[in-house]
Amino acid sequence: MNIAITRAFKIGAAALIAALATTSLSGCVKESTPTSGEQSISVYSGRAEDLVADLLDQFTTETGIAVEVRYADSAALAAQILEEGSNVQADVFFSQDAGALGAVSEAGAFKNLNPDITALVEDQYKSKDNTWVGVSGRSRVLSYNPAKVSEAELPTSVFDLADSKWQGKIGVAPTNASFQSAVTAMRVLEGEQKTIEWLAAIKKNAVLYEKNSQILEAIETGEISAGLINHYYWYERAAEVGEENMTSKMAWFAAGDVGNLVNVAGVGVLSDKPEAQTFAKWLLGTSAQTFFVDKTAEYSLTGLAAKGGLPALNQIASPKIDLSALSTLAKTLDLIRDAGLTD
Amino acid sequence: MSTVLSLHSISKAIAGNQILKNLNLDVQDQEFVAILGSSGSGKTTLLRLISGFDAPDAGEIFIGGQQVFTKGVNVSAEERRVGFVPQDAALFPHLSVAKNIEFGLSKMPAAQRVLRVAELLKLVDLVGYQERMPHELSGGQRHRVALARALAPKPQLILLDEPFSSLDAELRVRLREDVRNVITKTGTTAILVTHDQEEALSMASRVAILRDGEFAQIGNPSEIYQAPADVEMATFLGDSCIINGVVKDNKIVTDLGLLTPLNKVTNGTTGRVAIRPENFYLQPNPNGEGEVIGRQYFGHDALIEVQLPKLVIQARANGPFAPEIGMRVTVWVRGQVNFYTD
Amino acid sequence: MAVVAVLISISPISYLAIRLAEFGFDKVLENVFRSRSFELLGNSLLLAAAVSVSAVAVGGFQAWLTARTSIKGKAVFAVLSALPLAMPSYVTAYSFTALFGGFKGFFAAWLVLTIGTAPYVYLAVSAALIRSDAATEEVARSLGAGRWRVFSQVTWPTIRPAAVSGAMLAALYALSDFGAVSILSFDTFTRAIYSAFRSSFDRSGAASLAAILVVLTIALLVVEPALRGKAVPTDSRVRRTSLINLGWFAPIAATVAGAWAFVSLVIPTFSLIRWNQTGLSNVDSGEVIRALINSVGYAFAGGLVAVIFGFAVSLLTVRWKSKLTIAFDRSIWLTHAVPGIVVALALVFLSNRLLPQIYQTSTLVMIAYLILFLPNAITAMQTPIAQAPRALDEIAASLGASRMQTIRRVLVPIAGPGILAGAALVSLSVLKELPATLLLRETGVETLATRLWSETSVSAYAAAAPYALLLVVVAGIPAWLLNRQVRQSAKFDLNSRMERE
Repeated sequence: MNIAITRAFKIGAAALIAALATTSLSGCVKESTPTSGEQSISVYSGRAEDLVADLLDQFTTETGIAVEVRYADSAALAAQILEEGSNVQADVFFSQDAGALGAVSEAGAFKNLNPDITALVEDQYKSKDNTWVGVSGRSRVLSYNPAKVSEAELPTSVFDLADSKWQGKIGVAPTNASFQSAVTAMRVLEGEQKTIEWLAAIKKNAVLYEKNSQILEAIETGEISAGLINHYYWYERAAEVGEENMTSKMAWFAAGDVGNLVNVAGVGVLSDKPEAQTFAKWLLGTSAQTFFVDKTAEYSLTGLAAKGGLPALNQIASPKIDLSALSTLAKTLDLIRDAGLTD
Repeated sequence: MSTVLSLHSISKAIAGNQILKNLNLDVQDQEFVAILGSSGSGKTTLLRLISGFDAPDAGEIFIGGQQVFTKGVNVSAEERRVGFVPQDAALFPHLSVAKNIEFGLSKMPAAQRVLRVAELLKLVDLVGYQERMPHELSGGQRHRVALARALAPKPQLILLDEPFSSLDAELRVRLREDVRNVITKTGTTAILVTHDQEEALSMASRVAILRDGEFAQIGNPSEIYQAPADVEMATFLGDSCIINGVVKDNKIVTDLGLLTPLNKVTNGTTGRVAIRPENFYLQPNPNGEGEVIGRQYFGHDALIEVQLPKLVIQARANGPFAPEIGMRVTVWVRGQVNFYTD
Repeated sequence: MAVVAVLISISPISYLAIRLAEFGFDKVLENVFRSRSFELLGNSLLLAAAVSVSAVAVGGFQAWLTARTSIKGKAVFAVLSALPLAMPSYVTAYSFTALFGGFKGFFAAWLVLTIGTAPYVYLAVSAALIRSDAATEEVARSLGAGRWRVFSQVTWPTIRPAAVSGAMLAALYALSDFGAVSILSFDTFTRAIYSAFRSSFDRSGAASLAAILVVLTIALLVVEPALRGKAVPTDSRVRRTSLINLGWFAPIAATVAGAWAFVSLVIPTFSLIRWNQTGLSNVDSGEVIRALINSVGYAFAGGLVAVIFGFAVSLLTVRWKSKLTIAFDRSIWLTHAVPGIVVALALVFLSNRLLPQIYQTSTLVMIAYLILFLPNAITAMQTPIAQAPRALDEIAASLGASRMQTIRRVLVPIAGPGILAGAALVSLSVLKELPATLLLRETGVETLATRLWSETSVSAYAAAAPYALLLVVVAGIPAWLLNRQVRQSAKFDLNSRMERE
């Protein structure tokens, strides 16, 4: 019996090895594999490959440090980092939003950033405990279809969208991180009661989507009149179909309105490798910041001028908020959930 | 006696091959007709046309006086009231014996149905098996269930498609008798399709021989056996020795001497005679012309191969007295023979 | 070896248990018993039930039409029935939304998932129809049974086991699907699991929800054998196929089948091609080729691994049938409704603690595929293996062959087509798989599916289209193979009939 089991295991192991040998023979082709001896870092990127692949190449060209990168959803990567436990594979976590950075930071997985890095960015766009720093910014906007809503009819505050005249005309993406951090900001700045009421009204008025791009699509086709998105989605679509073919436009609310929240994509360091710190610092340097402005239509956080047509970062009358507070997502999610917008 | 089945000029081609050509056949009430043919002769196709599973290309079919097929008319299989016993029985594998039998009785009131099933179980000698599942039955039992199932709705006609081909020899013989008895007892008109001549001859009241898509001969079993319509028939149905001959003074001159014809002959014609092995008589004779060169011994009889000066014949000899190899014999032909003009 | 396969495939459950234990029982209950959870569960169950019923209706109809009737062009219909397998349901969902604004909600999800799952039923039922004895149908007709009675009382009982396991596959598929339902904005349980990860980084909350799916799966597994009914031992002797002439119904049937092919294949393909042409974003052909090679490599290796282990499990349950081995067989299904991302995170967690050296290697990816797709492989292989007569084992043994030799020289060749079908089915699923591949692949390795994901995540539809098209084309190969395997056994049957005539 024992012999039989041992043999079965041996056969199993042999088969597995054979199969795996086939895998390696079939050869997974990677874009660039750094050879040992060279300096290299491993990056988990929650930012999409199309947005940042060229940027990372540029980093390698300028610093000679090779980058091994793994793309996935920011939240999935945050979960992955936490599940990896003590065996973290990444040196750097490059996240799409502050929330995922906050979650990793809270679990204590980040190393501290060098002071010369954190000094480059205003307090508003980095964590208090120096575990992560924002590298590019984006603004919440109201995108609208001019055929459906005239400029004069545009709301001056995100709270105006609670009015019943918007019923069935407004699009939101309640499971999307961008919407959730905007609601977090609302909760922090305007209080829980007001947020609950707003969410209840939105539940009545809004058409729900999974993604910002779907909202924009619906605005373009006239299915809905307006929607809450991030500004760069408009540019992304413009790049896809041509700016002259865009029907929708973007508008900001009145100064200081919480609907104008500026959120950041940021970076945190997971290992003691000095190259990881180099990477974080490089993202705040001129070449990377220029890249964000030109290629991804985001805001520079070190003061470079914004893309044509966009109001400058310091001109957006964004609400005053500590972005670290945006990682207090759990409470927000409860509210969104209780309003019936998500599960 | 009324005609139960009538085929008029039936033709059928499958994938460009003419399988059946211009067939005609009438089957009378309570008749048991066997259609005998080798594989590829089209006999199964013919059954499928009668049962309504396939449609002929041309011709007419009448069942019980009703026209079930002609150009523009095709009564579907479920409305023809033709029972069908396929090869391998094809019992419904998920239904018990009783449920299989009562499948065709759905229109009958439940109480009557129970009685009918009991009646049939008794008829096929399977009382006590009603709750068995098909896979729990032996081969012979399955066929008896299949027969009972086909008979249950009292069909006008029952078709048996090589029903015993998958069974072993002994079982086959017994089952033939059982089936024959059941069919006779119920007074059912039946058509049996088979390639086994023994089966056809022993079960049927009439045998139709299907060759190359045509009926080569139709007649009662002894006619078919003793007076084959032509030389091919004589060799197809049982063995025959074929010998050339010339008619002279109403006798046939052959290498075996003068033979008396069974059929009408014209003087001066040349042709062939067919002689069944059992119609030879081998007389042991040290000076005989023949020499025994082969011997297959079966107990009750033996098949003996004899070398004559100009030909080799096969003869059936009585078992206990069968000559040994090397013995010399004189060959006699018993009775009359069939002569076929070339 | 089968033990290894079973252990691997239920390993994610241990992860769920650990997460739940960490979370605390009270919080689990609180999380699970929110009214919203029940609502979502209701949605998921409704969708799963609707999809499995419609998949059986569509797939069963296609199987019957192509295996049993004499309808013209049935070889074409057969290929068209199997091909939607090649279409990942997230691609189908995308392509429909791109063409029709407002295509979302329950009915949209129902349609898209039916398109994705009907081929599973089609293949299983086709095989069952071809194996069953058409003579029983003829006998039933000769006993006066009309079309409907023949179908309900004779045909259905013989295809029921296949149809029900096909339905179960469809139900589990619908339960675990995330891509299509999220694109089509239909709130299901899986979507809740994803958003627990995505928006609250709430791994334990997600785990508690995933545990419910496991419980649901167990319930399905318990119910399934009863629904499936007793397997009917079929007679493996002469099988004759008689084709049903549909008559006036033929044009209607052809129209229905054609319309379905149009909806399930033509519309999505048209939409993909339109993306390709309308967008401005560019495609890097080198990138496409690399992704293609990786996809094919993963698919090939995944198929190989799954059939090796699947064979072991099938053999165990078929040849050494006992309560224990049946429990083995069933347990493999446990994780089948667990969404890919949960399986992936479970493997991240387990491998980093038990076998850190395989983390982020192809080995772990293969293990993930094994967990996700072993049931598919086994479904395809079990019947062919079971059909190899046991007497052959004994004959081989009497000729001095060892047990391994018997397997290699007798069983494998006989069950060959079934094994090939299993491999094809798994390769196909691997090609389409996204969440686990995304998290577990070797860093830097891109497949067609991951490229498709990254392009669509920045709404670069034109750049995404070639990946989607290529994915569909490549996955079309195993789909076509699968169909051919089913059809070939049909041809074989036809031959044996011709010989008998």
